[in-house]
Amino acid sequence: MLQIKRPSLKVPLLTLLFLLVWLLIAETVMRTPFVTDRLMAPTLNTRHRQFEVQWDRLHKFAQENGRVECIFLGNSMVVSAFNPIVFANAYEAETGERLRCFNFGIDAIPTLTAGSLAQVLMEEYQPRLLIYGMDARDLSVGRDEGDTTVIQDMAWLQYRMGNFNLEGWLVEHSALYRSRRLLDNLFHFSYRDTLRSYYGPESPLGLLGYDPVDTIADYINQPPDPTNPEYQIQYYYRLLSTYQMLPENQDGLEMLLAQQQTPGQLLLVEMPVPDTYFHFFGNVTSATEGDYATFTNYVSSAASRFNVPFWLSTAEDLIPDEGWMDYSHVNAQGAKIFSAWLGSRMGQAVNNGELMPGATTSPTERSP
Amino acid sequence: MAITSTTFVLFTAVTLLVYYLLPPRWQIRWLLLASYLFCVSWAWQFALALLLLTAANYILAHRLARSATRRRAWLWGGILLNVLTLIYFRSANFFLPQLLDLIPALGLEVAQILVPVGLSYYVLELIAYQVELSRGTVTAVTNPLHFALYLAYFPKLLAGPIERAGEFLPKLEQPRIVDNAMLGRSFTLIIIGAFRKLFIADTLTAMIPIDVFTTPANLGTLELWVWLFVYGFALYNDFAGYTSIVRGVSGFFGIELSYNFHQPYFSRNFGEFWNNWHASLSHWLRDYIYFPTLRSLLRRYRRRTHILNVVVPPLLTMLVSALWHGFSLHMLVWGALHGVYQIGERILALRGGPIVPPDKRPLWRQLLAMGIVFVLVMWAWVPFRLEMPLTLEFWQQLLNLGDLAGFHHRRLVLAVGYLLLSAAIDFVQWHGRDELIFLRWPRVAQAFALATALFLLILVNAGSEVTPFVYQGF
Repeated sequence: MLQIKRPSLKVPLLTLLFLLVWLLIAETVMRTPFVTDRLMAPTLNTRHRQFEVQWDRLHKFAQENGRVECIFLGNSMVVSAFNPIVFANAYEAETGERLRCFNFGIDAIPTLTAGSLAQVLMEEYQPRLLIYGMDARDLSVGRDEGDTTVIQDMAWLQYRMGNFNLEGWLVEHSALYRSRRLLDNLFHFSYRDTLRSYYGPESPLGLLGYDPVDTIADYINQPPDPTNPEYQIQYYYRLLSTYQMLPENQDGLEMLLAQQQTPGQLLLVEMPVPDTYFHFFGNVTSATEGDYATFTNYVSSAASRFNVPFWLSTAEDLIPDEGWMDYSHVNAQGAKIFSAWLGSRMGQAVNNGELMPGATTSPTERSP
Repeated sequence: MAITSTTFVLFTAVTLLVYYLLPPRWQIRWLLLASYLFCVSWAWQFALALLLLTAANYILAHRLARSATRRRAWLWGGILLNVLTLIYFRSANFFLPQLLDLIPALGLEVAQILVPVGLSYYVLELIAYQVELSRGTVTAVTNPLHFALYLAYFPKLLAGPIERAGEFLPKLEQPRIVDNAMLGRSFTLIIIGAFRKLFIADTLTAMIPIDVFTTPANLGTLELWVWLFVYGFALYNDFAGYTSIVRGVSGFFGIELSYNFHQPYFSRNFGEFWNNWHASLSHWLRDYIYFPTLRSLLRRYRRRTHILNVVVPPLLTMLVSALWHGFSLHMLVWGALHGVYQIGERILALRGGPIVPPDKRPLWRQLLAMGIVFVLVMWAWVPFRLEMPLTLEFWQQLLNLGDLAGFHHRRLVLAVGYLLLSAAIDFVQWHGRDELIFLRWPRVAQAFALATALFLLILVNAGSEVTPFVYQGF
């Protein structure tokens, strides 16, 4: 039975006071340049390190360049395919105007996540151009499994999407809270190594979000073997062999398309794939057949409803055999070709009046 | 449901709220239900195993209590049932696959047999209960709900403390009073426990580089010694932290649980060490293995200094302790080492003059004894942690004077800081002869210490994965 008699509140109140003092001191210290200059990517309290690193790189890029004018969003195919410098050169050659671009590719993000990220990126940076590189897998059933929805489930992202939650609010507003996983891991020692592995040796391209890969897939003309136990092969078969679109991913695409504030601010691009990629679908031998055509037709139809262009790239047969890293990713050589084609095509579209990237406006000054 | 999880905090809060809203006669039923829910949160099969063992022991105990002529048979029947259950679950994964391989015609699939949570602990409680019943020091519990709660009580289910029926059951029958002092003690125990577990133990565990326990020969001798100390302190803070938390939680229900740790690394002999390290297990071993063995030997060899009386009881006791921790050669080596330490200590005591209590000796002798016990305990942690081939490699490197000063991991400096922090907390408790000495500090100092502990916990525990308690695995 409880026999509590007028408990003294002196110790609890003093404890609360001291705790507040500690928290205030720590919050202040975490905001000083002495600390911020020494921290690597401030955490957004997610275990998705790649996202944190990319977000941090984008933030620094915007700070250093005054603003970011175009952002390339998409999955790992975008990470490996979009070379911002080659793109900007090709665009400049056509229009005489230099664009400051960033590759915001994140491995394996489905369109559901891309839709949410598009909203936050538009709010945060108001880029003149947001290019979403797409593949059939982004809309597929099964693309919401495992770690692919970690970003979507982040408290901070949900907060930024307008779904208030305390953790998201703290990540947004408290330097101490943002860094607590970092501090925790400084004690535990693993985080620095993990972060370093994502940052790698900082190259000028790395600072633009692009990490070139030199590997050449010498097997690119041989169809994939369905009995190959390799994870990537089995995963592709799982997503594509009985291709179906997930309604949540379709909603994500609608959300992404709805972000266009001015005509020409948004562009969808089909990421190029080699011919052997179609074997994963079973019933397809080219980009204009079967389930693959279902994907492109669906995207095309959705994009046209929002008056957003959707450019096909596979049919252009841009990438030579030595430009592939594997069955769906281009290597550094393929990335140069693809980025140059895209920059050039975009420049021409602007010159023709087909595309009108948004006017320059000042981005809002808020970012963790 | 791990006890450092938010789910456990919510579970405890709800259990506590309902507990106080209910009239006393319903409180036990509610605690029992909550304890079984807690058990089911790990696996429903664990709850079933607990229920079956509880029912079987309840019946056996009543048979034992009522029997005038076959008490011994019922006692051994009860002990065998519990020991065999423990052996079955602890070794099923070793022998079942081989057994089923031998008889493929059965076509049975090999399923993983998991050891029910807390089994190793409540089996010891059951054996103690049966023995005490046969000795007449406790009476058979007539209320099956009380008996079931004695075993299933959720704060102590996972890893003890191992409670004695004679001490625990009366607490269920008496009014369970929670007053200001009890609340203060419970809260302090939880904070100390959380600090030890989350701030010290988890950090130290994370700091230990993988190569310390995989390729010890690659590290310098002094560095290896320090990492061994780090392991020893991590293990201690992990289990002491757990015990402190569950004692605090239990205090909120008005049920005080036994202590398990009293600054064991300040012990000045091995008797003291085992009184201060996992005391509820040590005392169980003392009462049900050591003393019965010694009594039995003394009946045959009346001289206390007879070699068998000196050697067999401590060695057998520590070997049983080793087997309880795990059926493996390296654990047996760990137990045998501690057995040998105690034998050596006893022989030295028999040869010396009159026995002087450790705290009456000169300070330098106390400190020297502390240092020797500490180093020998650390030495023995090696086979506790590693399989035999690696143990030998580790020991060899600890004695390798040719590679004293090589330091490979700079984080060692920070690790030493944590060791000193742990030692400082222990020193304050040891010097004040009170684990809750902090409650005697001035209020401002109490509040400052509490706020600092909370702040550090918030800082280091945010979003990180908590390491499971080491002793939950036994």
